[in-house]
Amino acid sequence: MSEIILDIQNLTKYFDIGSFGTKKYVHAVEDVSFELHKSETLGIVGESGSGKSTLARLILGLIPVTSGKVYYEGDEITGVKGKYASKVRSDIQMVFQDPYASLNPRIKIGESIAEPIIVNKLIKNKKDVRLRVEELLNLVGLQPEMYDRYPHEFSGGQRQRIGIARALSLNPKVLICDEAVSALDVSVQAQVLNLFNRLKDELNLTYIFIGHDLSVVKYVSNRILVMYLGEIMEIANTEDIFINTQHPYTKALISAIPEVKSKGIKERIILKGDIPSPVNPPEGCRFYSRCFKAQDKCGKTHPELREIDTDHFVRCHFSEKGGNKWLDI
Amino acid sequence: MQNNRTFFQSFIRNPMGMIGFFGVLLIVLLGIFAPTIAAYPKGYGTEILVAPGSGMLFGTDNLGLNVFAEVVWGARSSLYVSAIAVLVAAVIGLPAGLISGYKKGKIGSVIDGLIDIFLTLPVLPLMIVIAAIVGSSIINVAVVIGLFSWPSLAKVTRNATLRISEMQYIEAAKCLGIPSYRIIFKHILINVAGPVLVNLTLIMATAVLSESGLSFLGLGDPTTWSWGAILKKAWDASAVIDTPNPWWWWLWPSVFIMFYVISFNLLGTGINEILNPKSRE
Repeated sequence: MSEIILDIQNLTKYFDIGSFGTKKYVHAVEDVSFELHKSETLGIVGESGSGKSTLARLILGLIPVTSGKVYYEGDEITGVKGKYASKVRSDIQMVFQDPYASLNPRIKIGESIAEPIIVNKLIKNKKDVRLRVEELLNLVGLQPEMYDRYPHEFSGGQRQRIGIARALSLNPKVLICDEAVSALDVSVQAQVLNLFNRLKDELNLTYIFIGHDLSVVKYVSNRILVMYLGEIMEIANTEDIFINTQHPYTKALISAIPEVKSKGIKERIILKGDIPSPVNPPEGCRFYSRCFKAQDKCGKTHPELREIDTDHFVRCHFSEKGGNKWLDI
Repeated sequence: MQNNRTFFQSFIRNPMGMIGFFGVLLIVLLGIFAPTIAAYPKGYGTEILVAPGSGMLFGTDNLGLNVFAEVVWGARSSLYVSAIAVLVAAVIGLPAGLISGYKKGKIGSVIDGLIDIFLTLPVLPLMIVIAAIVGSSIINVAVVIGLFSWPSLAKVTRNATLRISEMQYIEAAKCLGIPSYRIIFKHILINVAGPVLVNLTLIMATAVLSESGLSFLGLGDPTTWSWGAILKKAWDASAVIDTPNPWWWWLWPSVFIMFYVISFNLLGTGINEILNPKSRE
């Protein structure tokens, strides 16, 4: 595989929600480690509350980490400040979830895109800045004349394109897409996903693509990381995760993908209940309370993340190299 | 979210706001063109306590001065006082509200605590004491009023800022390396402009009430005509209880104070209604 651009080591985030001396923490992200290779797309899936967005914000340095480290091109970037921080900030950018909330309603969209260029002093001359913004608008499939319009004049898909253009304004190398298409109509989702794929080739970008819809994430990703309650459950190449599924949770997510078939509708795995509270996570396996293959052991001992095949890591007591028959229902 | 055009369009369709706007406009024009409308009232006139009508629009006072001229010049100083008071309140209140709303944690709590303390202070007695200490020039009075008007502005700004700073576009701005001062004084300020504007018009109105109150108590500037000062002179000459009563002397300044306060309140309510889609029918 190609060189490592981001190396995440034991990243942990607890949110303190205790008051008046009581100690209570939300275990949002717990001991997450993975490597991001240059020019790949890593998909992160998991349901609401699994810590995906928190993970993205930790990598970007938008919120301080509790423990763990993030290395960018070999250098540690957790908690750095000053000049180097702004360089790293420019190199790792984010596309936000809600296109209706991620653009300032009172600032012209051209100015929204131009501002980071001016503030970070990438281009000094005002005319050149405008040219650059128009070029970016073109790149994401919008007309340069739209520079002077306000966000409310655009549709959701167009706004998301503006958000992408703004993220690209600083010439990033890594783009983190936090549920970047979840708020869009299905037809528009496809267009924006294709735009992501095209930009990746043209600009040689590396993506972390966060989503809750496995079919969407599958479409863009080379590798997929499955999160549950702040922990990595399974991480593997996209084909591997679908063909050689090892974790019951991944299995359940895959079975939830709707299929276009008239006959032989497959058995769906319906998970009971809700995701447990992250304030006091279960002692044993975090998925124990909802797992359809749960055994006594799972409630007592916490499984470690094991490499059961090349580049295929699973956090389950029962997964083995090669065989995933035991997951059949 | 509307752009400027729809703001003005809906403003024109809002009758209360328009009434307030024209009322404010009238006072502003009176204030600006006071020297051309009426000569500055000074010295003594020949005819004292003349009833309105015969040549004198609003009548004359016990020194024979034209009450109309006094009221017009009073509008000028009222505007002056409210403008300075609003400026002082904005210079303190806006940054206090914006910063305490954006920077949560210690800085925010400290500023918020200060705002709350100032909100609970008994304003009028303190104003009287301070105005008495610093002396009664019109600018002193204006600054003192401003110093006691900022907490409400700061509170309104803080509450709006708390809401806006949670928006995704603020997080996006941070992510794009835009410095905090720029996020606070550009990205947030333009989004809290609505409630802030409404509060500023209310401060304009209450500033005139405070100024009139201080002048009436003899703590205003004795060399400047203001509505409160006219009332004080009328009161001192016991014009309010005299028979036959020179009602024109105390009525007109009172009417103008009311008119001014109501106009600014209507303007504020109008702006608020337009900016808040929920209250629009």
